[in-house]
Amino acid sequence: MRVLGDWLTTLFPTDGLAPHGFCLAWEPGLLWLHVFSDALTGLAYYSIPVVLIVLTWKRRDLGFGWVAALFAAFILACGSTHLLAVWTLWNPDYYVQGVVKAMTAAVSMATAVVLWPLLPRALATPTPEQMALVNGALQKEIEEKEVVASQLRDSEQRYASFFENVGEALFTFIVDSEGRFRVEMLNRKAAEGLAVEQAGLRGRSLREIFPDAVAVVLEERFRAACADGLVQEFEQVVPGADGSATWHTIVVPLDDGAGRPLKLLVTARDITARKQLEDEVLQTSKLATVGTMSAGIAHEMSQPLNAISLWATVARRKLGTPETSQVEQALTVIEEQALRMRKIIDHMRAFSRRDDGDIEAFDAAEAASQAVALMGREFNAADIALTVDLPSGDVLPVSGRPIQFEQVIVNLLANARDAVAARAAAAQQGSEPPRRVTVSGERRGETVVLTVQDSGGGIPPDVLGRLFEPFFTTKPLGRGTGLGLAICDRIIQSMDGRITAETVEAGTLDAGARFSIEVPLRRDRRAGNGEGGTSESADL
Amino acid sequence: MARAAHPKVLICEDEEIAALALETLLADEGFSVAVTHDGAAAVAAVEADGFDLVITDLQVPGLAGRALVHGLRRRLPIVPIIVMTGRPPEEGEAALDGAEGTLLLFKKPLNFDHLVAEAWRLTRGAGSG
Repeated sequence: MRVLGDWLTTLFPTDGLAPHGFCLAWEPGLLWLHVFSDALTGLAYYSIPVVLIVLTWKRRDLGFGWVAALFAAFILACGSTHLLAVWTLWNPDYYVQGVVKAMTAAVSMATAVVLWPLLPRALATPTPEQMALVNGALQKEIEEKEVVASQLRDSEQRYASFFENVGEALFTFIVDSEGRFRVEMLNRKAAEGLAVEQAGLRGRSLREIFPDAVAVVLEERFRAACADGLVQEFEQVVPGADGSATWHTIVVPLDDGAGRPLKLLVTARDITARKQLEDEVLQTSKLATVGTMSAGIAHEMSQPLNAISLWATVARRKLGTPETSQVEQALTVIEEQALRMRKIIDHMRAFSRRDDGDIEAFDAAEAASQAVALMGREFNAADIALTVDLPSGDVLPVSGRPIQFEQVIVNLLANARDAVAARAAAAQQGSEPPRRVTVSGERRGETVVLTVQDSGGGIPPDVLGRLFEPFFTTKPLGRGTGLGLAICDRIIQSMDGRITAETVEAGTLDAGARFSIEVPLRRDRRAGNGEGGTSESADL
Repeated sequence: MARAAHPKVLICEDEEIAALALETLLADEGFSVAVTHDGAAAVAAVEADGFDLVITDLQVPGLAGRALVHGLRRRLPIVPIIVMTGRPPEEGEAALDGAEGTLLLFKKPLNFDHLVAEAWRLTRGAGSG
């Protein structure tokens, strides 16, 4: 204290000045009141900057660092003036006190000046209540996000589970830099179909996981899907350890939004059982058609058999007579008629065979004539005039399976016969409707048209719409399978054609049904196509 | 049994090769045989000429079945008719006739020996005037 006093005295001379205590007449009570008040105020002021420093240090985010420093300086200066007030009670260092007061004034002014512009910013700082509100909102938002995230997780799990457990084989393939297709994901069904471990397949190429023959087809389809961005759908027979399976496959190309193929979504369904069922239905319908034809066939067989029998009698009676030429004639006839019977048998065998053979070129009129030959007698027996107007000489060339086409005509003829017979049976005496059926064929441009028209009264409008539905029948139980026309429809569709039905001459005695079959002319016979070849008819 | 000389038989059969055999066999037996190949021609033939017996198929072009039988009967009400068919009506002869006059059904393939015996029986007394 003495040293500091000496130093101050040297700097700021105090000669002639009285300590401030003198002004208080050294009254102890008053003196100590000032000493305590100033000292405590000064000490308190000195402690505040410490708080400010700690606060600004720990909460640098508040952004008022340098203002706090200014404040701290201002408060330190204020504190110093109070402590100096105590000092000057005994020591008249009023210069020192004045200088410190001047510094305090400077710092105070500076603080005041910078504080005013800060006011709007300080006011803008949210209050704790506001902060609490904002915080609450934020908290709520976070909770909501949590819920959404959890829902997303659930949803993803659900879809992953769906992907995994769906009854179809699912794959996604990515296209690698070399243009090869590699498995990205596959589900359990897909792994089962390939009879392999699911995990080991990721990243493998098409050729690594499928037999070569299958991979080649898939690769071709994948490339096509990538090239035009269109969905590919196809059926494929895949050989397996326990027989071959038929797969129905759909390839969906997914692009990156800019048209570049990114990946392929492939779904495949094993339709072997359905195919087998379809084959069964087709076979059943064919056998039903054979049943329809059986009476006609019996008649067709009885004709040559009858000729053989009669000529055998001729031969027997001429045997041993000089008329050896008649014996020879009889034997020749017998041989010819036996051959004729063999042809009928072959034809029937073809009809009841499971396999209808490959798609081939044939004359629609010829196939229709075969059907007429087998059914014609039936019309005679039922007293129905059957008019046949079919051009000969391969004028109606088409592509398909002739046996199936014949089956269609047989079915249409049988329906026509039944309709005419039923209408005749129900007719009143004196107003008998005509009993006739006409089969005709012609070429219209590049289309071959065959029609079967009857005088059976036509088709009721409510039946017309359902005519080609499977298992739809108007015939009594045991008479119709309801498959005839449905199969006809499928057969004609497989030839890229269509079959339609209408009622003609409605409301008159001549009223009847007309079935029209339209099939494209065989490719090699179309205008502008000199090349041979078969149509790309779908397999049935 | 005294056989009449050359009873007149009309054959109506659209299977020409079968008709030819029948014609040959019946002619050898001593019948006077005419042949037609469709129902309408058969009816026209019986309208133009009298016959002692008609042997016809049931399912022939032109006129068939019951209509053919009726057409023949209209002209020759009591002429015996032998119907040959590969598919006899379920009701038998009754389904075709109903009028007087004999009508026999023969199933194809024909047993000619049996047929010719019936033909002689049915034409007994015919052809002699």
